[in-house]
Amino acid sequence: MVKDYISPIAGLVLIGFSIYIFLSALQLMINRDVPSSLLAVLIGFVSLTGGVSLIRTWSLTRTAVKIEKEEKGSVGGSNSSSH
Amino acid sequence: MKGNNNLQYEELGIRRSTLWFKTIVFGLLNLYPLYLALTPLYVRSDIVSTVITLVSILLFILGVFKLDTITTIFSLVVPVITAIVLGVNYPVYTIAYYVIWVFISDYIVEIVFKEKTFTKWSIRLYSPLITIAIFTAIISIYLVASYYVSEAILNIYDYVVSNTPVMFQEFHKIFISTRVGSLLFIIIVLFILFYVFENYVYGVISDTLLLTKKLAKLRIYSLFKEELSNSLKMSGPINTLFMRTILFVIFYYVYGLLYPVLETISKWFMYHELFIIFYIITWFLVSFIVYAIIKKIVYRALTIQHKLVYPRISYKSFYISLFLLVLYVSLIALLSSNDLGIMFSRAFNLSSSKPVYNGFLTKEITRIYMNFSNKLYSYINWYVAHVVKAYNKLADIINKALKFLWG
Repeated sequence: MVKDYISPIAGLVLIGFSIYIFLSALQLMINRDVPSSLLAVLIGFVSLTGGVSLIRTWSLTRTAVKIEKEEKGSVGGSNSSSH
Repeated sequence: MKGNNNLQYEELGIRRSTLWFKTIVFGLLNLYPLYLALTPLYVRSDIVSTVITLVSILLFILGVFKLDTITTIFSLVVPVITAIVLGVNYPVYTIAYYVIWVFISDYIVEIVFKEKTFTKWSIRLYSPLITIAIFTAIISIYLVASYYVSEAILNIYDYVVSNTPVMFQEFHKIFISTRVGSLLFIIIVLFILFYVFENYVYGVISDTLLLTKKLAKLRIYSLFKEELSNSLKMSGPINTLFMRTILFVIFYYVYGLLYPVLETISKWFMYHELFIIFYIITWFLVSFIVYAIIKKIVYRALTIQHKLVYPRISYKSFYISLFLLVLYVSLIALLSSNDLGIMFSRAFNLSSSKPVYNGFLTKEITRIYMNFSNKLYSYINWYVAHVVKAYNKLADIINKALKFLWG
């Protein structure tokens, strides 16, 4: 139950972190600090794509599990499943 | 032979013996327009007009024998255009009258000699009247609409010409004020007329002549269904025309936007002709790629499908960005390892002091970026100037080609 929600929360945290670091990259670029700004942008991209793929994986597995359960229910009669 | 005839009659409603009547009536109806179209050329005695006269007579005979409207129209339009090009004072708009007459005569022949329609004609007295009324209404609406549309276009055009630079004035000089421009205009009008007649007016007339409630219901249903399926499949004449227009616009813009880039490359070519071939190939390639992308996007937007059958999870973008980050960090660690700590603390907003970089790579990156941002304005200026040059060149080429073709 709790385990199910770890990955989407982690993904959201990563996306928020990426927004923070993109903003800091903008600030650095304004201050003409180019190398660190580039570093910040790359870190931001890594965390953004990581967060997005975590959330996507979570939602797809959820639908897959749902479909599997429905198929099982329709084939083997009504099996009561605890959720 | 007799059995074959009967079969044709039963399946298509055509009897062989009526075909001759059709050709004779169609020919007689169009003989007078042919005479009018040929008169200005017939008077002249040079070789061009003689050849064109013979060719159009041949085309006319071919069109009448095959009962082909397009060939007949060609036989009437070709001598008129030739006469105008040769400098004879002949009104251009007569072409439109000829074309309309050919269509009407074709329709008369079809409706009178198609025997199956005779059997279906349970003529009520008012159905021809309704037909005539609808026909006149369509034509008058068409005329009024075209009058207002052309007035609006002329107004907009005047505004554009008076407010824009050389490019549009050149366009006006080439396409509107010359003989070629007016010919192009009349050809567009002919196309539209042909399209309207072929697709709508014939259908409207025969529908009103044979109108029943069932037919009306069927017609409305099939019309909606056809348009819907056309717009979903991206097929049909209007969609095709739309997509071709988009292709033309893409060609026009890609030409200008590619010009500055390719002109810098032109120094590598030994021969100028080779460069032109390379330019044309890249131009076509890039425009078709852009066209395909736009077509795909439009198609996706129009067709809604359930695609969640076997979803695949891809981490491609994550791996690419991770690779870039690792590459960058390792490069900095190799070439200017002292700055890495400062950079990380700056990136996470942990230190606010202004850093002084000593490493080779960090210095170089700062220098390149500063250089680039200082010169960006001049780069953009250079690019825009070259784009303008490209379009001026295009206008010049078109002008030269028209002068070469029309004297």
